[in-house]
Amino acid sequence: MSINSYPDPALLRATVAEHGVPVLLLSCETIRSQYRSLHEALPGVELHYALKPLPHPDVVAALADEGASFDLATNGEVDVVRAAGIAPERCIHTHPIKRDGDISHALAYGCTTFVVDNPYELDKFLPYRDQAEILVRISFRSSDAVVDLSYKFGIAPDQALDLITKARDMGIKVRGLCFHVGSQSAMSYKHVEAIGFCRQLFNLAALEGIELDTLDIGGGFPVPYTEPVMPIDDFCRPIVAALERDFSGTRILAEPGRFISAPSMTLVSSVMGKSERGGTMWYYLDDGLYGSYSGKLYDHCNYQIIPLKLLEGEEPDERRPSVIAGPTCDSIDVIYEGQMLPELECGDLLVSPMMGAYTWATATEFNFFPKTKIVRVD
Amino acid sequence: MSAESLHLWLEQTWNEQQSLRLRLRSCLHESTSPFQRIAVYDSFALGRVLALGGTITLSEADEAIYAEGLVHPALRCHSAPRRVLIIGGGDGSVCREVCRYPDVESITVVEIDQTVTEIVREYFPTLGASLDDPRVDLVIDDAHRFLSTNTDCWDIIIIDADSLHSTANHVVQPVPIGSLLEQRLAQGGILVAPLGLPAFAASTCRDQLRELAQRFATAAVYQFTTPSMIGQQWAVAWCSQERVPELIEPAPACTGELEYWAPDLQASLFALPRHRQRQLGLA
Ligand SMILES: Cc1ncc(COP(=O)(O)O)c(C=O)c1O
Repeated sequence: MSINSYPDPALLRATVAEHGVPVLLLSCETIRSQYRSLHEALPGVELHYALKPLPHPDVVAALADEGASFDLATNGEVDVVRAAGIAPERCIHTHPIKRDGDISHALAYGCTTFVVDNPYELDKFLPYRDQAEILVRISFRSSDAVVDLSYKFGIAPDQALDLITKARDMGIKVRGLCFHVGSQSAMSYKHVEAIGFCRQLFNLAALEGIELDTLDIGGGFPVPYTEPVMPIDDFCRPIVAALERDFSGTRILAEPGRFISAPSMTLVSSVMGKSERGGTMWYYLDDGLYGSYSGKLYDHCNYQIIPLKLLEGEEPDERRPSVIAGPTCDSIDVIYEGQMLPELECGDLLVSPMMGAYTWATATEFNFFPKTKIVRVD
Repeated sequence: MSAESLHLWLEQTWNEQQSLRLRLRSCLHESTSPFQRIAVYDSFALGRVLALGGTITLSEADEAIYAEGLVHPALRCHSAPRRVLIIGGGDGSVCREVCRYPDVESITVVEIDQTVTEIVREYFPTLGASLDDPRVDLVIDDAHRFLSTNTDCWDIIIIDADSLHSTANHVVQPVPIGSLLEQRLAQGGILVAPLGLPAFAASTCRDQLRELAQRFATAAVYQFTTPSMIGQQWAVAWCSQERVPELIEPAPACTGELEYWAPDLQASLFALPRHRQRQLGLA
């Protein structure tokens, strides 16, 4: 996957002609091919698509057809997979913090594997100990990932054994361990290190007579936004070697979200208005930080934004430093400053590829700008 | 169908670029313990081999070299080795070598996987028998945890593992294993710790050696080769605060016939080629 691949401009124009702007073009073929390449890079690993970056029914249906499994975190996500007719055995529930109603809702659906990372949470499973099984989430901090997912969740490795034995004493079945080293990891050595640590925890549990049989290596598989990333095969090779060394015979899961969904959507927005302020051109788009570009804030992600006419081959005479802002009344709603852009007119279309993960999913409807419509193109 | 007709091979990977294949005659045992895959094969070149997690840790052809190579260079440099600790060592071969010394009073073997000792008793009975020596205390535990919860001291500590690092449990033990080993060594004690295969992983050997050199007045390196496994040239750290790797006279009593080690070999084991000295940061 190159960082410069865009959908065919004609398709973009045709979609806009039919559905208006702003619009997100969803490619389920891309979802499928991303799933396949990760599946090939991680042979023998059950891939549970994490719904959170893009909880769209068409994505779920395409992945179900590819044989994927699913990672759920909320009742809403449970409802999406249930509506898609997914067998509950193919799902795990990975939110470390749950209300009683979250547990019972997932159990009523038939999803029986849950994640726990502290003793208070364990107590909530006492009434469900005949049905529910636990993965204990371990915290491995990574300075290297764009989004650190061991800050808020995960038990310190040196406290994990106590939690596991406490569960045993409560009659709650612990199946294994899970971790998430952080989203958009640059390299996989953190995964490898975490796998080694988990082996040692498996060993310590075994010495207590507790045989763990499942390891969930989380997500974190990177995609190129404005910078190239390691090809997925190269990224996964050390992980596969570590799993082969330490965990052959153990059931291995992963929870990829971004890798599968990010490349699947392309945003087309348009210039709502323009202004020249202090010698700088300002362009106000009909989508912004409160909308599909919300990932710029929450996901710390930089997306490319390219005028469609440049993709169509137009050669601009000159480019000027420009500000690209969103449509809301809030001053924070500025997507980029200092972008070198050719002069744009009201109605001109702008294109952002790689807009499938943590974009639409985290958008708000501030100022009554509705969430951008998703249009499936294949 | 016999393994021969299947052309069964066992591959040993040294690093991402190099591996060795061993032709097998038959598979005698395969199982998975809570800790690892355990297999016993009959091989054409090396006789019976024990493979843990797919890695050969013992072969009939070479086990004497490996075990003697870890035991005698240390015990023959100690005037009164009474208490010996073997970390790993569930296969019994290092223990058998220690048992040759009648003046050794206690041998503690810390093995994480009980199943290994059971399999060895079945398929390598002469090795397994050494664990039944009355002086032997077999402890089933994680070595790092054992060291951090124990307050005994030993005259000799032998790490029977592919490297010191591989026995460290980073998860639960805040104190580095090197520091614990230093604390658990008696006055005049000697620690023997394999660093790995320097031909394939020089930098990890060097890192471990550097750590040991910071703790011990003497952290010498010697090498020996288990030749049937092409490429298996081991670098081993020999560490002590008080002693140096020179043979003690009179030699402590040692029974039976050795296959590999002899007094006149000692000095040559510690003579390292120039490139190895450079790789290990010694020159
Ligand atoms: C528990 C859990 N699993 C999986 C994911 C998906 O991670 P990624 O998008 O990096 O693959 C997340 C992301 O927040 C998560 O919190």
